[in-house]
Formats: sequence, structure tokens, C-alpha cells
Amino acid sequence: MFWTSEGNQKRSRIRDFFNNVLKCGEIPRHVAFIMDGNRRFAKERQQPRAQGHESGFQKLAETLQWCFELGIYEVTVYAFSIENFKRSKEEVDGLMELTKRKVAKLMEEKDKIMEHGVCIRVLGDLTLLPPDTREAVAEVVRFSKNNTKCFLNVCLAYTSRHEIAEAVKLTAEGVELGILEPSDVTETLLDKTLYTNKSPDPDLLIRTSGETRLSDFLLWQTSHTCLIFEKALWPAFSIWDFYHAILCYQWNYTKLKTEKDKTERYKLTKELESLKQSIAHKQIQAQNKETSQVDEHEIEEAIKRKDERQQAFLSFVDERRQQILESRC
Amino acid sequence: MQLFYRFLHFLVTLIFSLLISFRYYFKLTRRKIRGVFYRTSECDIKNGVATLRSLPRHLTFIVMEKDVDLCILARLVVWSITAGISYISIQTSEGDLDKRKTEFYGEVYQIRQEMSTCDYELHFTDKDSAEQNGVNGAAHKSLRKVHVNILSYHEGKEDVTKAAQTFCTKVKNKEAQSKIMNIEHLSNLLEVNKDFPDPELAITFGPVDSICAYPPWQIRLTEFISIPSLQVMDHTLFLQTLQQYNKCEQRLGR
Repeated sequence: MFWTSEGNQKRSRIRDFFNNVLKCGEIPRHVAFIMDGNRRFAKERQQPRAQGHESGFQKLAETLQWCFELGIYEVTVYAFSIENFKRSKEEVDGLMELTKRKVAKLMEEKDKIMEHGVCIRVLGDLTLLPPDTREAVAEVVRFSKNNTKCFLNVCLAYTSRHEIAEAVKLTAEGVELGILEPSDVTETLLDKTLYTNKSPDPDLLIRTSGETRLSDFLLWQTSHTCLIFEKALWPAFSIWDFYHAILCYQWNYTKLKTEKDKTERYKLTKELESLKQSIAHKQIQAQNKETSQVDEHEIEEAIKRKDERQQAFLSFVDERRQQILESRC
Repeated sequence: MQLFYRFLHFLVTLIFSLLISFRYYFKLTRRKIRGVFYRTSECDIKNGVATLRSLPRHLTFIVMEKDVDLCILARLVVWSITAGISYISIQTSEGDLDKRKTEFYGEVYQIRQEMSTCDYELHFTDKDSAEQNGVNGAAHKSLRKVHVNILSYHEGKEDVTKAAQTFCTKVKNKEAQSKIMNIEHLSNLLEVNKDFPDPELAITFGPVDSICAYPPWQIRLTEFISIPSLQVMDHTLFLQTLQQYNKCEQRLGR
């Protein structure tokens, strides 16, 4: 996007031409990448591992440029998993150093970030990061948080199971503090408590290096995502692989959309039903009678109250995330 | 100019679709030809599996096409059992397998009878009926137990939501504290986890490159292998898929 301004991002005419052709079909709003294969790439070339990560980063910059040109305004990348902390200390430290360095470089181009309206978010359990890395990352997030044109989500110290468990923990905390009722905990609320609560679900997920698993990445969010596994290693990921993935997405688009809409409708009816049930249940308990007639007015009231509680809870979640980002240790 | 781009886009999409259908019909013809000359026998599966290094403990089939061919699906289940897999689950996106459960069980029993040896005990883990249908009547202790489960379409996220609600109710009643919640704790609260381990391999059938609402918690390390349709599946392709799974190497973050 903006940090590629070193010369290699001349808008190529050929690319413009292909982009224009592809734009006649559906373009995903949000694409997620699992950037796999940096180390194997380095090994094949007999380079040190760090070199592999470096070329991986360069590829990311290039790919963001491709996405931007094609009109994809939200990208999520899996930069560092909680499991990756198991790697050798040397490599982990190297990766943290790389992150810090790149962030510092990014901050030198503040005006470019603002000009393009890029909002950078970091998803994951930031408390697991070393303090100086967290500090550096927090600075960019704070700086760009009001931008709304394009979004880059970087998953750092992230795994999906951890994210889901954290979300459940937060809702339980909400109950503890009296903000939420247990019956307010619905699938929709959990959706909004995840780290990704500010983004739509990804439409397309691309994993490189031919591995065909999700490796604990966005498990919840990808239920109706088009999953494409490309053979190329990440640093060798070419624009043709990228175009192939986009074509696959276009081919899948209608079918996936129908499925997604169907599930969404089912979810909402189900949630309404369980709300009605819980009202009826309460009435029986309160009045000690068998009949469970619930009138429309009462349901409306209950929905209103529930929405208010959920809203209060979501601002609590936002506040909490803010705190973690700000906390210095 | 715009019209020109549209025309090109149409052309590209057409070629792309043609390639995909060509691949499908090629595989279908190959299966039919093989089917004419060859009848699957139990030995084929057993010999094929003997060369493999590792087998998935839990194999799951995700079927995303309309009008599921129960006969092929049942055959796949029996082959998997013959291969030595003990946990098998099936999810269909249309949800019609839920309604045709009995028909499906019948198919499985019938195909099983065609097999000569039967050294296992079959359990259908059924949510609706608590009883478990052992086939041989009296259970033999020496026999290996095989579990087959049909997942209903929306189960996965509902399960997590339910677990979250249960936990929150406990917290409200002061029976638990929110801070004890972690991955392990949530995992223990989930229904699906009770009888089944996480699937190591998922074979997806159908014209969609997606997993269509498969339970999210379970697929952390699952390998996905996609086959265009149930129709192209025969035992050779089944064995090839298992071989492909064998080549996968999990690094678990390292």
C-alpha cells in the first residue's frame, strides 16, 4: 500500500488491464491470508531463516498493493500465532524485532497512512507480547484508529480458540459485573465480542505453501468463507496465484451467499425463539401458573431491554481492549 | 471499453467453468470405467491401508451438494471402518440427511453385510434417540468399537453459545468465577467433544470451496481435502485421499 513507495510499485499497465477485467465480477470485500512458507523458501535458497521472514514481509507489502488496486479494502493477515512462541528463542526474538522495525518504518510514513486513510488494527492477546513490541504496535493502532478507507488487521499472538475462550470469559465477566444476563449471551453477541468485532467476516481466505488446514486461524469467522489453498510458498506467491484465488471466489460467490443468508436467517429466528421461551419461563416462575401466553408487547419490551444490556456490554468490551492497548509495563 | 472488459470477463469465467466441469466429468468417467471392470473388495482397502504410515482417528465427511447419494455415502463409511478408522462423522449442508437417517443406517448395514469379516461393533451416536444401536445385539467385549455421528447443520456455533450460557449461569449463581475460563475449560463444556476427538481429516464433497458452518472449535488442525462430488468417489480415490493425508506434515506452530 503505502510503504511500498520505494520504486517497485509502479502501477503496471498490464495489471491495470487484468484488474479491470476482474472487476466486472464480484470482488471480495475482505480477504484473509495465512502467509505460510517463509522458512521453507529460505531453506530452498540456502538463506538464513530471518531472510525468509524478510522476503515474506516484502511480499506482504506487494500483496497489499495488489489488493488495494483491485478494490479490496480490508485485509487480515496471520502474522504470529500463540503457538509460534514455541519456536526457538532466537527466531521469536527475531520476529518481534522485525515487527518493531517495520512498525517504526511505518511511523516514518505517517502522512502516507493518513492520505490513504489506512486503519491498522492488531488482533490477538497483546498481553503475551514483550512490552516494547506492544508499545510500538499500540502506537500505530492509536495513530490510525480513526481512518476508515482501508483496513489492515494484523493477527499477533493470536489463535482462534484462544479468541473464542477469551470472548466467553469476557461475557462471563459482564455477567459478574451485572451488565449482562446469561440469557443475553447469544451467537450474535459472541460474534461481537471476538477480536474481529469491527470487521465483516472474510469473504476469501488464501493459504499458501499447499498446506490444507486453517491452523487455528479465524475458525469462527470462516464458516462461509471461500477457502483457497495455493501451492506456492508465501515469498513466491505471484499475482497469477492471486488472480486464480479471485476467480475461484467469483465462481463460488452465489452459492456461498445463499448458504450464508440461510444460516443468518436461521440464527435470528432461533435467537428470537429462545428469547420468547425464556420470557415464558420467567412468567411461569413468577406467577406460578401453567399458561404461558406471551403477548407481543412484552416481547418488544424484552428485546429492548436485552439490546440495551448488550450495547452496554459491548462498550465495556471496547473499553477493556483500549485499556490493554494503553497499559504500559 | 467497459463492454470490452465485460466480454473478456465473461470469456475468462467461461473457460474457468469449463475447466472445472472438465475435471469433474473426467473423474466421473474414470470412476465409471473402473466400476465396469472392477468390483471393490475388502482386500483392496485393507492392502491399500497397509502401506500407510498413519490413519486419521476421526474422519469427517462434509457434503455440500443437493440430493445426497446415500448409497455412496454409506459405502464410504463402511470403507473407512474397514480401513481401521474408529470415529466417523458426517455433515450435510442441506440437512436432509437428518430426515433420512433410518434410510442411511439401513444402507450402512446392507453394505456391511456384503463384507466378509466384521470384527467391529457399530454405534450410531444419535442426538434424538439416546439408545445406541449396536448391531450384533449382544455386545462383544473383544470387538473394536466404531462410532458414527451425523452432525446437524447449525450445531457447531450453537454448541459454543450453549456452553457460554451454561458458564455464565454458573457465574451468576456464584458457582464459578469468570477468570477460570480458558481453552481447556471451554473444551470440556462442549457437547461435541464428549464422545468424539477432533477430526484429523475432512473430505469435502460438492461444488463449493468452503466448509459451510462446520463446528468451528473442532477444525483447528483438520486437513481439508476437496472432492468435486460424491459421484466421483470410488475406493481408489478414497485410498488416494488417505495417501494424500499421509503426506501432510503438521508442525503445530514450530
